[in-house]
Amino acid sequence: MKELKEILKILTESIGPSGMEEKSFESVKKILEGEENITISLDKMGNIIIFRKGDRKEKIAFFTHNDEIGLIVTKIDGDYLRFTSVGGYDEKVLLGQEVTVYGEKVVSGIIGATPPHLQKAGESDKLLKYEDLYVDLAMKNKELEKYFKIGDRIILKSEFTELKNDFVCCKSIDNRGSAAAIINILNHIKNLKNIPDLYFVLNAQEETTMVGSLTSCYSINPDIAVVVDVTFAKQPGVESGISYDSIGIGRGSHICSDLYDYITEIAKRENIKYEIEAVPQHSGTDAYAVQTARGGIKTILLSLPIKNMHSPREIVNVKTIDKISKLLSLFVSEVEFEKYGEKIIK
Amino acid sequence: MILKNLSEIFGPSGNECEIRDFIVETIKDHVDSLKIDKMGNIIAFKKGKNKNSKKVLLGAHMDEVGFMIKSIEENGMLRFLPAGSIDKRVVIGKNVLIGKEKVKGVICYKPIHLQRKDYNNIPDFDSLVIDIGSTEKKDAEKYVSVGDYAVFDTKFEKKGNIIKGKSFDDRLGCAAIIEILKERYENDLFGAFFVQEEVGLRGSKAAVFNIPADYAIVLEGTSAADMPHSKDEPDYPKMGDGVVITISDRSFFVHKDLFNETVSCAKENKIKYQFKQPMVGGTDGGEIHKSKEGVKTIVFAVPSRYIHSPVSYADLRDYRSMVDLTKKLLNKLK
Amino acid sequence: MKNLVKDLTSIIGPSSYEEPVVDYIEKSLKGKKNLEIKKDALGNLIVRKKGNGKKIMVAAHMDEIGFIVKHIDKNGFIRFAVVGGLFPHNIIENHVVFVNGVEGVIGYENKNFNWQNIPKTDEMFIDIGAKDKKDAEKKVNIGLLGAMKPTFVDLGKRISTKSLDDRIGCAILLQLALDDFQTDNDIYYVFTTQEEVGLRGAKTSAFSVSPDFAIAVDVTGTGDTPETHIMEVKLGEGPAIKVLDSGMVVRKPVIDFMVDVAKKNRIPYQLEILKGGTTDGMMIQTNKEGVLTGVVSVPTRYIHSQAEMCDMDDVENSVKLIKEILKMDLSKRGF
Repeated sequence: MKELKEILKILTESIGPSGMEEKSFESVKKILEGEENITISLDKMGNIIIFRKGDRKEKIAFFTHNDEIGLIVTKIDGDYLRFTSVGGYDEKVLLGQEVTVYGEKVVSGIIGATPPHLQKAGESDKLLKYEDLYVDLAMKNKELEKYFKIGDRIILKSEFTELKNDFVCCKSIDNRGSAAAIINILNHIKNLKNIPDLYFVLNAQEETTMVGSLTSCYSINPDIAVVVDVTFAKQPGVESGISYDSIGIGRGSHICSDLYDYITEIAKRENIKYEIEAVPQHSGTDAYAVQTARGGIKTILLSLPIKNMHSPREIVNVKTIDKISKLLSLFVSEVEFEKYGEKIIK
Repeated sequence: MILKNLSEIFGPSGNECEIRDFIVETIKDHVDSLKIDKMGNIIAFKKGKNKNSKKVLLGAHMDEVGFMIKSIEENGMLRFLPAGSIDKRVVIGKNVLIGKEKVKGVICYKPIHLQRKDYNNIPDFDSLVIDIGSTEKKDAEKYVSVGDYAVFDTKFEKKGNIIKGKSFDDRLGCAAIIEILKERYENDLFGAFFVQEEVGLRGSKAAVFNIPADYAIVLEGTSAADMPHSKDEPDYPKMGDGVVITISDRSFFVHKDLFNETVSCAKENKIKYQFKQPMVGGTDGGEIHKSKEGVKTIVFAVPSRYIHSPVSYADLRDYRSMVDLTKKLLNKLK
Repeated sequence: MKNLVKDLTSIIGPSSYEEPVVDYIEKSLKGKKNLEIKKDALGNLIVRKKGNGKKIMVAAHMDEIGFIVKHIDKNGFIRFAVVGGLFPHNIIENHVVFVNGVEGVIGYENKNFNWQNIPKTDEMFIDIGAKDKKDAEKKVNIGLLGAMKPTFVDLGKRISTKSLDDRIGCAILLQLALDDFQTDNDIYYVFTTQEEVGLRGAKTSAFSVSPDFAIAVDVTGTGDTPETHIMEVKLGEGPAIKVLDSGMVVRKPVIDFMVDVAKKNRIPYQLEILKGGTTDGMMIQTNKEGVLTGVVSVPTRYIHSQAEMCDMDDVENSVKLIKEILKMDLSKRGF
């Protein structure tokens, strides 16, 4: 069982765009090497499900999503590839980025940008849209036709980089950072007792269609669901973000209010820094789908603050990820299920 | 009177505990079984008199539109978000009640004298604040927290047949089911009070999964359209013209046989009825009718002016027509 | 097959009024002893060809976009709401037909009209040539549904007509149901309702069938007209195998499977990424614990207009492709 930073590195560097999440299955298996009592499977919709048998009969499922935003080939245009996004990529970060294209061959390329010398007057003030951009693989049309086709995925290159003060920078911390947080629970519960059956679910397609959360929570049908996703950390221009070292705890319609009360009690008791996130309506997370699955599932939502969301250089503080793992491991060993179920009055 | 309680009780989408407790207390002696499901929906059951009865789901939603406190500024002002669909133009200068303690607050924007260029702009929710009388954050935090809910502070009044108050959408539907549950009918009856309708028809979606319904009747409060119009366009449903029967809204089309049966039932029993404008609004009927293998569903409503705002009107005679039609149908369905 | 398409596209059947399409399909399938026919609470028509193998659901929607009567004004002009994605520029001054046969024209408020801005649908009305309100009320009522007037134009290899979306899918399913081909799989041809207003029929029919695998059959746009968006789908180059649209990301193993079947049987095909539109496939995919779902699309120009255009070769090849998929042993692919 790997340590948190290593888990985060493996997860964020693995390739798993919306609809092709299985590529990351091997990476996840690597993380859990040597762990007994744990099974890992890939279901037909691309969800990765890690199961740990517990010594209580109830089930808790953690839902994070495994898919990353990326780009997809729409046309082979002469010696270049045209593309569009899958999930919400900001076009403004694309110019001048290095990419990798996954076709019959895996090849590196660049999203081409005209140098200032050749630009027309005022051109650098023009916002480029997807239709204006292209990938240059330094290959000729004949070769491109041979190895690539429409639907091939393009992932922006980004190496896991350690910055000062436990900050790290990489792509897809949305939402592999949350996945790291829940898998790291396995490290924290080694010395705890009274653990229920635990499902760690890395959902497919949250960034696009939410098909992963809709289907995985139907098949698992847990007694309690914990959704972990990312949120905006405070950064210039994002005054409403939460502090990088706080956990976000959601309050709103997707969240069961008595479970919210319970988990904030634990956080206060353990001095784990948290901020309340007001989400009265659509939370924009898997909680939207999970809470109304089947006859309803008791759900809570925790958030990991990250900077530069939906760019290839997302930044997070590793200590904050660990706080989520710690809080949730105490939660699973202490929660009294009888208090959070159906109430029969008569 | 029960309508007064139902209208005034605090129960925004996502925070329905108070209204739920009230309804449970009120109905528990009139039903055979009663439970609260994992989302907080109330589901009551009453066995039918007929041995070969069908199962009918009768539903209304408990939640009302409201607000949630998003953040507390250094100067003690509260920033907030809507919970449910609220026209941003109706909120300025209105009183609200916040949280469990019902802290009084007012939704503020700068005075007209100082608006200048902004006079012709409609302020977004981001530019509004709620003032509870605190002058610094530390003080405000003694009374409210981020994530607390708020509702309009509106008193219920009755003038003859006309009632005035908040949340007729859908406390009128709740009142009707409470009344209907006092009797027993030919068919098995599931009386359900849903949560979170205003934020996406969420409670009904989960509740209906475990209810084996042959038919569903949803009781609502809907927009009356008899305000002044600038051109010759639809001005129905009208207050006083009877119970509103939905042909279609944005969430569903009524089941044709059930619709025909309902209209003849209304005619036979001389119950005043009218139709809703097609393709307007959405209700729990939208989730229920396409649940699992499908449920034959119809929606009745009381036409109410100015729903989703601090103050609405409705006509008690339309409410009475809705209750009567539902009771007749509960005995007629086969 | 062209006549089948002509018949189906001429039926007036906007969302929630699919019965005339159901009747036509049932009549066409009369006498087929190997098929079981059922209808559900939402009006879906489920035609089962029993088999011992995997359950495969093939879906096409019967409904078309249309409109519904909201109000008859004091002079007998009719105000309406749209049903599904009927856009202003598709209907101005077009001929329309109500489900009871009454015909009319779409007019618009031209008091403030200027050539730059298209009026919105609530600034339009239907003129049935009535003398006054009383006269109009004899012919139409609130809640009455209607659609664009049928206009089938035969251009040889290509045809242009209303509601190829998705009567062309229905024609393909009907053709498959009529053909007697050998397969072990348990096939459900599902003619769904109310797709244009939110994929509703697909939701309930997928729940009751609970298939192992599904194929939705619908139309998709093309990128082969002057100065259009980048889209590598062209009329006449074969059925499109969907990769991505605005509601669905097709799983890679499913795309690979469908492409392999096409290649193996030498059926031309194209790969499709559609921005701005989705199909019943999106709803079927999320049924219960999930269903592996693919989509076969007929490339179509001018979607949601009175003059949608497709190529009959693409239609024939769509039938061929789906037939070969339905014959396959899915367990060999791990499905």
